[in-house]
Amino acid sequence: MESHGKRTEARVLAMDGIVSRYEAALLRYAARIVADPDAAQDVVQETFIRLLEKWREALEPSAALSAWLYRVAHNCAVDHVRRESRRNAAHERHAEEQSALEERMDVPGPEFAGNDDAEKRAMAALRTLKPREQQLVILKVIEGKSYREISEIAGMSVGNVGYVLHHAMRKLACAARSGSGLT
Amino acid sequence: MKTGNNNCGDSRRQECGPDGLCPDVRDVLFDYLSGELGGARSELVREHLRRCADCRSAAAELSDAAMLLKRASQRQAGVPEMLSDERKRRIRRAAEHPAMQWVVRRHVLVSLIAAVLAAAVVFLVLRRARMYREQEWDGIGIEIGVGYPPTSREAPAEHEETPLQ
Repeated sequence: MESHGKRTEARVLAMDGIVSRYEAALLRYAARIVADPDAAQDVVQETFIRLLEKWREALEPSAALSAWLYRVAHNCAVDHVRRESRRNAAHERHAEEQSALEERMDVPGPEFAGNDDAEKRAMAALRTLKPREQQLVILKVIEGKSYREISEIAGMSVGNVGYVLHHAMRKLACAARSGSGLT
Repeated sequence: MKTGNNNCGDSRRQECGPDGLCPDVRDVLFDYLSGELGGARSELVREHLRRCADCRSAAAELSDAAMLLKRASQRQAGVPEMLSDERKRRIRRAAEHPAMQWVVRRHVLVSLIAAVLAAAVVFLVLRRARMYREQEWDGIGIEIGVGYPPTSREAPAEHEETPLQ
């Protein structure tokens, strides 16, 4: 009984360490996909709880654990975006009314403090990429991960990572140049 | 973006694909710019960019797009640095009571199973009670019916024949 208590205590301590080690990076990553700070918190909480359920190795920081966390956070975030898209489609009219109202009230968008049009366009263009392309661009350009790290997170070969990234970045550059969203 | 036929000293210029990039840099320009292209291949791209203004311009566009994204993400406001206390408490509870957490996370499934089990228990109890009552009635019947042989009215007709149809 006592050993069970000690095991639980050790598990909680290890988990605290993991949370404080990875929470900021995962929150940044999730927020860029879901574009909503609260939803990003939900995504990261879900990621850590899945870690407790599924991770069978030692709960200590490692490259493998980091890759696993990013992968699960990505899946949770994409699921969230899909759910939201479905919900938004159902409430499209309401959303349109809301955005018209915000426009009239001159409320800034939820995620940007700055008002640089090119930056806004770049982030908007990023969101129109395919989920896989978004994932790779965020990990490389914003998080500064290496191709090897990205290949572990995304479960792709290094060569494929480079190929997808190259074409995703070309689309973004094209959108930035033309000043329009992607198709 | 390339428009056709200028500035490129590359002899394979005519092989440029629909993306307008020359073969030396096609598919690897971003790898080169992000320092992921090693050795000889990197040197090849560098050399090509020195000669080809169109590919140089495409490279500049890629760099600008990357920089724009990075700057935009840095100015992204409202991205929390830490999980809220409530969420941290939930994670800690999950670490302390994994089984309970499993139940909480699957509360719909668990509720359904609990409802089915409750219904099964109620059904079994009622069935058992009914059987018990029937047994009781049977017992009472035997006691009431004490007295054998039966009276003539009750006695079965030994050679009762049914009329032929």
